[in-house]
Amino acid sequence: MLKKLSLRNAKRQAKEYLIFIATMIGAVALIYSFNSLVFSETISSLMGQASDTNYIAMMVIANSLIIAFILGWFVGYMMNFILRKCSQELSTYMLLGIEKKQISKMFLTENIVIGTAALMIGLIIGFLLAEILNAMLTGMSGGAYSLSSGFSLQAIGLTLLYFIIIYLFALIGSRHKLNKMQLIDLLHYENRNETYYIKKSWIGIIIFCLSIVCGAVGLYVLLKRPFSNPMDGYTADIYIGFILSLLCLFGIFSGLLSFLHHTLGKSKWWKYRKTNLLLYRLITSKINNMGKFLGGIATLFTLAITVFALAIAFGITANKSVELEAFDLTILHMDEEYDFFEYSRYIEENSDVEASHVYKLYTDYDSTFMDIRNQTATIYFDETDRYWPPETYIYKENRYDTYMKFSDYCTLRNLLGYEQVNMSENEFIIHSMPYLAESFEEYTKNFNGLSSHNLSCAGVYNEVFSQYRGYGNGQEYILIVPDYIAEQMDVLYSLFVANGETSFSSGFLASLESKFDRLTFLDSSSMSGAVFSDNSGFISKLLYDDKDYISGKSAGTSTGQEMSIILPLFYLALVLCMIGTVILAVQLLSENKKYVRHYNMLNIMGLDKTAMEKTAMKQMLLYFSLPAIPALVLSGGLISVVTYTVITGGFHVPVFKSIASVVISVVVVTILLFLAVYCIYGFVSYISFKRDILKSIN
Amino acid sequence: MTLLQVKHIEKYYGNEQNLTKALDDLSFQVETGEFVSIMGASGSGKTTLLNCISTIDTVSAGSIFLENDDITEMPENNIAAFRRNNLGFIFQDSNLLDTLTIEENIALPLTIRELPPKEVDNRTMEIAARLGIEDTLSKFPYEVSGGQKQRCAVARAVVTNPKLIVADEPTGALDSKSARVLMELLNELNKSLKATILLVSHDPLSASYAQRILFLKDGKIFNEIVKGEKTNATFYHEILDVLSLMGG
Repeated sequence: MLKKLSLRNAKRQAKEYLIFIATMIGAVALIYSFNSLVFSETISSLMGQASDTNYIAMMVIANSLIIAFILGWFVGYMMNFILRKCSQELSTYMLLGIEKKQISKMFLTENIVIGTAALMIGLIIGFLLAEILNAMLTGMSGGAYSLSSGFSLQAIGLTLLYFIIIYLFALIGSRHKLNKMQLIDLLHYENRNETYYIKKSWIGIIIFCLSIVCGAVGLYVLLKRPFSNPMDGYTADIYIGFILSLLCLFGIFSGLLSFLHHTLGKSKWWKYRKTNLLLYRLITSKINNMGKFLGGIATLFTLAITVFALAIAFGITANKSVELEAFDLTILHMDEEYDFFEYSRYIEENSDVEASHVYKLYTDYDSTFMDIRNQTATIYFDETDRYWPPETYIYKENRYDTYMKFSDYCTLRNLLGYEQVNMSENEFIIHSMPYLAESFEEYTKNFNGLSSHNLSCAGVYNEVFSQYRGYGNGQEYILIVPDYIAEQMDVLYSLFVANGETSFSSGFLASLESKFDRLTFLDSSSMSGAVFSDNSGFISKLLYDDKDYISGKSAGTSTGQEMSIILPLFYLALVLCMIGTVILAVQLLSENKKYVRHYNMLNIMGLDKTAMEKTAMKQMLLYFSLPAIPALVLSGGLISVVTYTVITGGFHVPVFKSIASVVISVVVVTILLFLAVYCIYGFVSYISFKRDILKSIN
Repeated sequence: MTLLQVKHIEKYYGNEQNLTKALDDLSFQVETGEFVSIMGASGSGKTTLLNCISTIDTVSAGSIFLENDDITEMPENNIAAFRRNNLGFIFQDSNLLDTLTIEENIALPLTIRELPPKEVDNRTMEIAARLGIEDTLSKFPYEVSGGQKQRCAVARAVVTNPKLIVADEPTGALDSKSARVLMELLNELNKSLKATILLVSHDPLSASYAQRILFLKDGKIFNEIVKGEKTNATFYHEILDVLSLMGG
């Protein structure tokens, strides 16, 4: 009989708390899909290197554990909530003589039945989601997508493990609460916290005002960063700003009720206008019941938004890194002219090469243009609070001006699909990164001529030309001279570049590297992997004299590392956002009966259907805005500082036209992304809310 | 002047196989400023009648006129506005909104009419003073007694100066003392404000405050008595006689 009751109650719960069950299904699906992904071949080929695959696996597993504990708390909260809602029924069982132990068992069975159903459905949806993620990542790495053979056993194992953690965490709390509860508690459990108003309201007002001050100071610290510098990632500012923001979020909701009571509540002029009175009381009663809990939800949202922003900022950095590489593949051979035939044959046999070219770069050991580069870079370093000398960001091999033959330049422009340029025998061209263009143009205006041949400047070009990380076509700039002048200079290094019809996958580049002992990957991250080479203070990434170095769009370990951060961050942000929103939605929908009563009464008093719909819409908007607005304002500051840190930390020279516009775009995209998830839940809640209210009226 | 005219109304529930006739060819009228009670046993149709008159429910046949408007023919879109502008409601369990203070509960129907805030405040204070509930204005419904809640409900019903006040068992949840106080209040409002009151009650004492009583049985008017110049006690005993005749 009790088993039957448990099953029936589980069915009823599934109907009443559909939004909770749907979230559990979504969470299981996310856990499975991300865990399945780390064991997939796509990630192995995308990362290229085993250490990266392990790194991303570690990140996803660690994230899943964090999520499991958060979900455990969430499920526990929801169980407690459901317990409150069905406390009358449980007390009736007790009155009928059913033992507390049996009731506790029954309640837990209901929840386990629901959880298991969510697990099963979640696994199936997770499988589909994993396939979608797989296809997306395969697309990103330039490979061909194929349907996976089936469920990943490791991922199922891990999902089950997390699921057990979630439910153990939640059940322990609920069981303890149920066992301790007396019949009288159960009878009155639903009516708890319904008393209205804190008595010492002036304390509330002080708390509210202090919270606003905390929030304002927190925002100032986050936006102006007065306490630290980028070398330590603005750590002090982020911590101080974050703690002040937290104090603000919790304080605001502790004092908001008193503040509203003393401002709007006392202003009859405002209160008695149109539907203000009703909305004011509906919202204040909700704040009264949820209280500091709204602070917790706002904190959850702030975290979710910030984590979304971090993921987006890393994504932008990763994309930019790839964008700065002009070629799918570059092989560098140091010092001399070199025959790349062996490599070239292998590449042609094993990939769809569209075009390739072998050429040399030269130097005359002059550093006139490098000095201009250093001056320009120094201005940027000062703007971004970097106090290192510019030499710190110059590779030993690129410390002098680097030259290229005009014929090679024309071939490369052709290979890259750029418009051809003209240059006479008495001219030279500068091809630089955009941030140097203005300085070079200014310098060449009053120019006496380049080298002993007195070449005049035919123009400065700025298309992407593999110049950012050094070891490509110069470090951030290169001088294009007539062939006969370059031939008089010393060879700096030889390069083989190639572009495929479709981008070479990281897997292909890894196979190329493993095929030839001489080949190794050039560390493509901004400065990591570089070692100080000599007493001059210049650095070098070329660690072995007898090796040739591969770089290219998909060759970077940085992309792999960024992916290992981006994916788990998105995963975490999504779950945080979903949990916060569902708690809000469930809190509202669970009180539908009360609202139906309210609206029914209003209808009897003559509020028409249209006005009721409008009021219900306003109520929903206000309710969902409550925790979202402070979260959005404060996370705006957090987003700015983390984006600024990631963007400036990710590149040692300016690669974006304006860092401010990147930061603003991240803030906008993040907020839109958050609002998209938020609005889905808000819309579903509104539809359900409106349906219930309108159903009851005449 | 006739305010309310109920003409041959019928109300059926259920389907063809199991048809329940709640109101059966019922007709009567109420004059402006009149206080009329409707009495009858459970299931006699008195609440159904009140719901039809107050547009909460619809009739199956017949017409109901409030002044010159046939409310049974009224388009659905106009019904809420009709209630807003013409009717005041008092329920058995007061039906106050528990998140609003007593003052705000009284002001609510005025804000629904979108009156200027100043007028809302003045009228709320005026009616609260008349009903002697100024002390409870800042309290929430859960903080006051049942009798005070009902006084607030009365204030909410009359604050808009409705043409007709419909009261469904307003003393049903009150003790005898509070019930008497409430009925005296309604009586006073009827006299001083010339408020037209239609009261449904199964309590003879409450009904005895009315000027006329309609007795319902099986959806039809079984009897009708008028107070006239009779004393309360005489009228009360007359009510008891009719009830015993009805078997209730």
